[in-house]
Amino acid sequence: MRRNLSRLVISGLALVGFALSQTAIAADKKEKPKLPERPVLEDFRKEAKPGQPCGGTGADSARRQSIEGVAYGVVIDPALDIFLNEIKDRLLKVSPLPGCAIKVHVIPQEHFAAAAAADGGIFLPMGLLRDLKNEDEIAAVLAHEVAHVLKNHHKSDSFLKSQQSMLKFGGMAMGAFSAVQQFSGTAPPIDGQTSLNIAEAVYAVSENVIAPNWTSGQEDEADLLGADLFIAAGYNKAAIGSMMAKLEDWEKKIAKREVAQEKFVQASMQANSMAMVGAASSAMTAPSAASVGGLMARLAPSAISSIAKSGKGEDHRPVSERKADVIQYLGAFYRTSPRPALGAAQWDKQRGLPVFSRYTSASKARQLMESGQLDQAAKLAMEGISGPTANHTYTRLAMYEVAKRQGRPDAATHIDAILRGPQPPIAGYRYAAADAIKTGSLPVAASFVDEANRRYDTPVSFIPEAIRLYQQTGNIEKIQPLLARCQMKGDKATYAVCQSAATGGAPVQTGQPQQPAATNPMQGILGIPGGFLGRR
Amino acid sequence: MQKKSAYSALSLGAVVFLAFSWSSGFAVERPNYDVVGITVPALDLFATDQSSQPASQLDAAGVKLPLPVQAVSENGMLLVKIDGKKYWVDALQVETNESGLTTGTCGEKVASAPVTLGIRGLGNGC
Repeated sequence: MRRNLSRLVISGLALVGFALSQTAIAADKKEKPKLPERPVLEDFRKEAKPGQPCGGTGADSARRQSIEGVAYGVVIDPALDIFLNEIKDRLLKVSPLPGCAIKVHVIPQEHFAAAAAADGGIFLPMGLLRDLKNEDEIAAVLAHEVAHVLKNHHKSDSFLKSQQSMLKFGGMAMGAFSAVQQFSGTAPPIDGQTSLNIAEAVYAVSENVIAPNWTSGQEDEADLLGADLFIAAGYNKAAIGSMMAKLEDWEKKIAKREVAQEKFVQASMQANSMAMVGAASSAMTAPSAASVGGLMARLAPSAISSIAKSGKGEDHRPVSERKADVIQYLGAFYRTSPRPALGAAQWDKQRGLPVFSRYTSASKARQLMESGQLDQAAKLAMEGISGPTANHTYTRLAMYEVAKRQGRPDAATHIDAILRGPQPPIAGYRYAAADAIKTGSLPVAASFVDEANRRYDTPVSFIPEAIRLYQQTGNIEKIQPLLARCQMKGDKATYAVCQSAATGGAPVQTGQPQQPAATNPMQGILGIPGGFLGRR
Repeated sequence: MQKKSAYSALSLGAVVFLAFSWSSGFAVERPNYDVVGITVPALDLFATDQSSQPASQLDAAGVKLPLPVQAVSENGMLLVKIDGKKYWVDALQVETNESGLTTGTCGEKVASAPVTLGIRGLGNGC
């Protein structure tokens, strides 16, 4: 018990420490850029040498997305892929590094933040694509992301520094989660729901800080170099303005959401800390336990609040400011540039592809499911898996979730369909194993874990969960090699979670698939830094 | 004979219409939003949506807002009426109150209670 309390104290202090360090980093980053003397592409042309390494390594970003991220993989639609990659090629062709290995992927998420991965993968979420009106607006987004890759921003000291901070936060978040789980394991008055509340609260905060942390300087550089590439490729500059106006709208929209989220996080932490006080007191009537709970109650909300703020605004200039700078830049260097017709017809044709309507149906189905309208949700989920998206991961997962919530016996068939697909994400195996455990088919559950590890070469982010699953299924002999791998390949925080899993600190919740957050709230998104907003 | 002159009048009307359409840059849509701000100190006013050089400039402070947008050309220029005259303006030099976002499936709501099932991101955590 004493050990658990110590962990809790350490977690709380780490939380505060991280908040303070983030504030210091944020203070470093605030700076309004000066208007350059000439287009930044001119300087880039002079400094870039043929064949010099860019951010694009040619690695398989889509595969990585299936393992990590939130693990639905990418949207597979060849026509859409070709269309988007042709735009990217047009932009790359006018750059000094036309051979840079960059590939555009579409991801099913409904948010607005495009992202560039360290290996040159660019991810465009469905939510963003839905609201872009023409090819030129897409090119404006891609130009910005391509600029991040061309300038190799992932390798910069400032990016690594900010990633390091996020890793520390990841460790802290996982430490807190692990401690809470351990604590709840030894103090029965804290039920699973309370523990989950804390996990959710921690994850909600991490969601604000994990998604990339380009520095303001890098964002500004990508804005300007992106604008140069965009104009050089013959696109219409009006689209940069209209696209950024949408981002501005989106930023306002999520700002409202973040206010609500922050309140939710604070209330959750407060409530859960109080629950811990009560639990600890009743479990061992130790004054120190009450004081630990009290410490968390007092410190955690303010620390979390600071963390959330540091990730969303102080180190990232608002889109409105960036837009003003880009307009000034375009006015200075491209005032009389040609204004070709905006490429609306081609994009309208693409947007008419069934993949868009089917994914919309799947997203809406899940929304309805959350609000308890299961019949309507099922109808839409069925639409999602009709036609060409029948075996897409995202649409099938939505169908699975709705069917499961309805208590339908055929729910598992949807997971089977995902696992039969060309690149089933880790999430599919996770669900399948959880279902198998629920029905008592432990060898089957273990086989799903084995298959996931075989297919994806035992990704570190999956190890803690694999350990827990092997424990559940009695495959104890497989745990030690996993622990060794976790120690070798993971960071300290991940290893701590692996150890915690191995000592039975966090049991698998049968009947409900584990949330990725429970495994590692950070792992998925690290390495896929920054989009336009720099965050979701 | 009367019929013939009626046809001539119609043809002339068509020619005038086409000429007007040409000068107004083949406006493709008639939007229902306004220019509500100007992003530059001096607003460029263009005679057609194809002009590369502005016909004149106007001090932004002197422009009475809002200006209803009369038309949008295929290349994104906006047609507005200033002091009774029609001009094309560069969309980058103005701000409009056009709603750029569809309602989408991703709302402002945050879960009021922790989500206990599912994979984050699939409709959540937009």
